[in-house]
Amino acid sequence: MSSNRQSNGNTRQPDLTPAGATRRMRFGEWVDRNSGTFFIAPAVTLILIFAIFPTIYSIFFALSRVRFTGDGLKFRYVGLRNFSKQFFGSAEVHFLGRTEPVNIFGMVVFAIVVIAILWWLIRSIKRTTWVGMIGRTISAAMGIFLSWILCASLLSGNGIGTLYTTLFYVFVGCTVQFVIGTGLAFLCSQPISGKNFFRVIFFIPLMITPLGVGYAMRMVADVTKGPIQPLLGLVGVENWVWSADAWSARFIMMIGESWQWIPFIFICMLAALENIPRDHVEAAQVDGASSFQIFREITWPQIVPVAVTVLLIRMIEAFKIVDLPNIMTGGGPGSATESMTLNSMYIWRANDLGGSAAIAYLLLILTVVVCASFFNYVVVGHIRKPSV
Amino acid sequence: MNGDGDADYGSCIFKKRNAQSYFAIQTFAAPIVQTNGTAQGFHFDNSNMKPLINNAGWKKAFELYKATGEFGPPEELNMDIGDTRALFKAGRCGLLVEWGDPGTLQLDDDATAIKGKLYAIAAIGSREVLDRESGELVPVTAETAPHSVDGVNFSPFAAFGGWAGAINKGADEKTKAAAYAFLSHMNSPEQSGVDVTIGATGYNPYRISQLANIDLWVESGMPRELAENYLGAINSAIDNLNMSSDMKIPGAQQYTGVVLDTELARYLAGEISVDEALANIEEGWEEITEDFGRDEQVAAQALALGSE
Repeated sequence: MSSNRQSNGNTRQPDLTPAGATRRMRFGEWVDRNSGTFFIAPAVTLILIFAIFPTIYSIFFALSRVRFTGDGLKFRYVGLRNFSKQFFGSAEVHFLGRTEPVNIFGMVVFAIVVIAILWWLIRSIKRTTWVGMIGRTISAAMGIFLSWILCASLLSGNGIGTLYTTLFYVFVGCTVQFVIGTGLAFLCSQPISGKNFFRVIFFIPLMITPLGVGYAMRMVADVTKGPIQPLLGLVGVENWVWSADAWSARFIMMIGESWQWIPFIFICMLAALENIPRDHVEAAQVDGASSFQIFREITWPQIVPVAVTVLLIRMIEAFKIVDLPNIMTGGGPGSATESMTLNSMYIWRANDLGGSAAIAYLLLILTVVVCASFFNYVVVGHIRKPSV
Repeated sequence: MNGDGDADYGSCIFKKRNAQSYFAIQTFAAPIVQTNGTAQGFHFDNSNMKPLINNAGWKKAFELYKATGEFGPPEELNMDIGDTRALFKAGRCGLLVEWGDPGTLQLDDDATAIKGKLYAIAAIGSREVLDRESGELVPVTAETAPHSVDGVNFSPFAAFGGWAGAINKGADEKTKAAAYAFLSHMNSPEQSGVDVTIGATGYNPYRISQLANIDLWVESGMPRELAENYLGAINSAIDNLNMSSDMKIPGAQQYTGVVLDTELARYLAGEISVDEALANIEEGWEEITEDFGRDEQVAAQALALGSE
């Protein structure tokens, strides 16, 4: 209709269409032109209401002391006090960990990391736009900050805070989940008997509510009367309690989290593996390639875009871990298993809405910078790279 | 203790993070820090709301609380009140620091191992108390602790402060009337008199008709001797002029449930020393007081403790 009217316009033919029909047609054209907007409007509206508005509204919380009164919430502006408390106030060690004293090893590692990051940043100047440089500068700043905290706390023999406990769940947990999930997917993609049965079995933990996983793991990991108690007895471990030691508690937490999320990696990677054209593999076999060579040269390059994307999604989720430590240890022993989300929840529960929002924003900044960096420097590179 | 031939635990006192250990530690601290009656309090210098926590009194309470872990279950650090109650009902605990619930829980069908074996006292006492001038511990005397008995200062801690019913003032009149009728029913002597004798309700005796009526308890299945001991312990706590009050000022949950609980847990887990824990609590409490306004908190504290 549109192209027809344009051709008519060029030859100036009189429009013989009745006036009512013309209005209807114009309305129809207007609807056609704006159909994209109409279709997307409900989704945008919902996102604005349920995601953007709360995010912006919570800025007021993070910058305020919020009190409950008979007439609703009462805000008192306190500037960045809720944030500074986490870095310089009473919550500093709880959030960042103990950062003193810093030993020689920590300082040397930090110096190496800083040099590497600055070298990467300087090299980027010639390769990227000024917008890209802003992004890389933010990534570099976050990298240096996180490196300093790591070197001053863990690498110097000091305790870590909720910041690095969260990062432990993210980086160590996601790595373990990715390796095991991919391995299981690879096994189930092979022509072995009963693989459909194993697919269902491996997928089940993902369907269980995190609360259920937490309680189940707490019962399973009970070393005094749980199912592993006799096993520990057999190897001569009698009075060991994982919940009394910081690192064993963190690892048990990570195992519980992994048990639930390995199926997610598994199912995505299995789909990727089964999408690889068989003729590529068969051609390599005809050429005499070994199984390892086939995996490295054919399989892996084809699944890597899916792999990094799945890893990115899992990392974003892992930053929000709260259920398992809340149920299994309450964040203990001490604050060993307490994630930033759990910390935020505890503070929120004590009606300190401002403090809770500030921690939530710190987590948001951390998640966005880490995941955006991972996306830009890892995911995008693999997606744009030719798969074979 | 339960006769199963296995060794049991001398003490079962919950120590899990973000559970209720911040109540337990106050039970330990109150008789050391509070000596001059309920209005004195034991958390702050009431005149300026400076934290009264970084001192030898609270330090001793922290150390005592941690030391009880030597006689407890190996996983006590990850046990909340539900966990210790389960061990108690199984007859595996020599000592509990608790609310009034164990008195009735021992009558449950699954607590046969301990039925009739409970002995209750009001709360822990101390032979040393804090001298607020010097910040050091001094022996209990009639001068240092006027309410002490035989050289022991008692200050039963009213943890949680009791339950309260509330009706929203914005509700319509019909709803208000219905809510009031419900609360009245639940608190009537006929209904609450039965409820307090059942462990699962969580109710503890609070009416004179429950606290003074031994027969009510005997009829519910409690041996008379035990009922006299149980009610005697609760009555002596309530009647004690030096009973310590739970924090009842704005931000109370932040002071205790977040700051005190977190630093206590970190000390119990060996993350930090007792001195660091107390210094951190002092700093955290000061921040909260400044957030809420010092003058407002001074006024609220005076109102809460009845010291105006």
